[in-house]
Amino acid sequence: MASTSTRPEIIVAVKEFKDYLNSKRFLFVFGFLAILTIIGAITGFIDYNSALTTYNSNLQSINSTANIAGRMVRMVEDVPSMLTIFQSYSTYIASVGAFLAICMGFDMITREKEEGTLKLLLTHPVFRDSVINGKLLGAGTMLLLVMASTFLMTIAIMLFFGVMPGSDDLTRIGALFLMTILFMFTWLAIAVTCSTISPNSAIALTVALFLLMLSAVVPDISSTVSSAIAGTAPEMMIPASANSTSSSSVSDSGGNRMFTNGGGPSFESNGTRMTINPDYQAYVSNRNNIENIMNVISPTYNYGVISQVVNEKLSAPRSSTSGNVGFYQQSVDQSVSVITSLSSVLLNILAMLVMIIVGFAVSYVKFIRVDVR
Amino acid sequence: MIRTENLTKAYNGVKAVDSVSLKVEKGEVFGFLGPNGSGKTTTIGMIVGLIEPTSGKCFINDVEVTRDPLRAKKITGYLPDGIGFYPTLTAKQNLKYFSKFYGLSDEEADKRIEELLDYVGLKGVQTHFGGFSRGMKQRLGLAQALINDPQVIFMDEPTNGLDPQGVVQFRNIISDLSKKGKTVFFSSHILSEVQIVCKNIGVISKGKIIAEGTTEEVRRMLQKDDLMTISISVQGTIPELKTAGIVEASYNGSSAVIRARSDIRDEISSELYGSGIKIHELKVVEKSLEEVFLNTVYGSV
Repeated sequence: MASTSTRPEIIVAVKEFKDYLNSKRFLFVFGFLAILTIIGAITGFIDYNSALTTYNSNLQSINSTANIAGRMVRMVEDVPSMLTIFQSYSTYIASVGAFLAICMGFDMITREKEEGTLKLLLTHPVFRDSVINGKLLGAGTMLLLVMASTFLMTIAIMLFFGVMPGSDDLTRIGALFLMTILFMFTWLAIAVTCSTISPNSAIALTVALFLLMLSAVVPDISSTVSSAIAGTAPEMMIPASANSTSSSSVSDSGGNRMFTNGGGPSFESNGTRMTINPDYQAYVSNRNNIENIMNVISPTYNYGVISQVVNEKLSAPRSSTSGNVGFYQQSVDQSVSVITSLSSVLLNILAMLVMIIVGFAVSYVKFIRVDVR
Repeated sequence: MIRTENLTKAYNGVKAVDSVSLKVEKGEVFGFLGPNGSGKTTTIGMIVGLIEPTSGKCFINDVEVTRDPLRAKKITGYLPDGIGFYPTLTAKQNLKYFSKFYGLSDEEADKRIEELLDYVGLKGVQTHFGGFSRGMKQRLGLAQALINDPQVIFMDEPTNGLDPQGVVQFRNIISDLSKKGKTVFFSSHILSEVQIVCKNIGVISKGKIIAEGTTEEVRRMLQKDDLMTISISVQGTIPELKTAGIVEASYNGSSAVIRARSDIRDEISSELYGSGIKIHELKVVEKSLEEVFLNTVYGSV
């Protein structure tokens, strides 16, 4: 026998990769995601164009009237980011992308058990760890290519419409790509874990879809739970000031976080930030901490805040996904670096990394120990 | 070629296989007989490296399977019961996938696959495995078990669910493999099946080997008592016999059935001759292996 040096992991990975290409289920979901990517990019471009027009119009208007009492007042938003184009994409990835990763992983092991091929495969000269490593390698490679293709589609559409990304934009697109991969691998790890611990594919899919739904509703649940744990909110007060641009005082006895400047913090006329009473700040901080700790178990939430800070060039997440206006506010200075943006969501990134490591570790150990009869 | 030493597998403290020790020589067709759930598949699973033994050892060509499973698997072929292949692949594609684990070049693999498909009667079949009949699945299973030209082939209930023609084809293939010097380990719960193709058999019941050897040796081992049954038929009425060694006797007109600890036909013949009785028939009645097997393993004849 002439010996070729193909490693068993590679043999399994190539088979797994080809299986995806022949899978109608995979091709359908991928096709759906590709269509959504194109739609998202086009609508994103339209939104970006509209924001750009508004910005230019405001800029012209300000040039003639902005000098008030000898001071320049900054009333115009920063230049709209071309990463707006990726906002719809991120939303689709959070739902359809996660579903695609689940479709790829939920029956990775159970299908082999059900079809009796695992038993057959393991009677040939291949170690179990080579089988699981090969399967993960095949699925991971396919996922990587799928994500790369959707990103390239979006970038191609941007270029087609004449939007040229700058160096910072390209860095952020790269960061968003990495974070999207992280998110997709998180769901792949969850799906593969379901596949290794479940007796059959139906149960594995049910568990994985339940976790996907749970991930979507965690921010809502955490909001309610954190309010319950934090207790009754103290009255929020902003001391009245003669030179304030805001109303004299705003109180919030209902626990909702309110601000006087359309969701942004209020400022004195000299440009300094107004202060809110410390006990209310402490309450909100406590409540947000509880909420954030709960939210990190949700990959959907984590990806939501990560894509938000990257796409919108924020120094911290602007709002929670539950729709409440967060205590974190949009940076006034939009020239924050991508490192600063990502640093603000480090906990969310770490949470997804932990999920991937734990998920694959559980799958690995379970698969190595399972009795194949 | 195949050797197991006190091979044991316990699930949650319950022993599915209990101290099984077997020895199968090179080129032998060994029948592994036992009722469903007796531990046949678990034993084979441990020998082929699919299931980790709780204790004990198993060797294939002196390679300890748990210590060096890959080396053992390279010289082993396995046709499992209820075999499954990738349903969206053809017979050839399925075999090609498994052939890759043996380091065969593409040309070698293609040549070997063509030979095997021809051998098992699946040459030219382009249907995906999902559309295969039971017989076709078994034949493809045999082809994959032979993909590495193994020295030892394990077959777990290979004729299960096959039509009579398929059963005969399988028997012929097993005989052919034996002639080629392959060692075949063949499990079944049907005694007649094992008797036809195997010279030596091992009987397993409730996880333990209860008999091993040639069919005759196994029959003797399985027979629960040492008593011999002698049937007598004479001209006229048979008198009550006084011959020493008779343990039980039942008389019915001109015939009698005697149970004795040894073959006392000569003594009985002398007594009857001395009484002037003409003997029509005097013979030892032995239970068939099937009767003994059913009685021992299933508890009834």
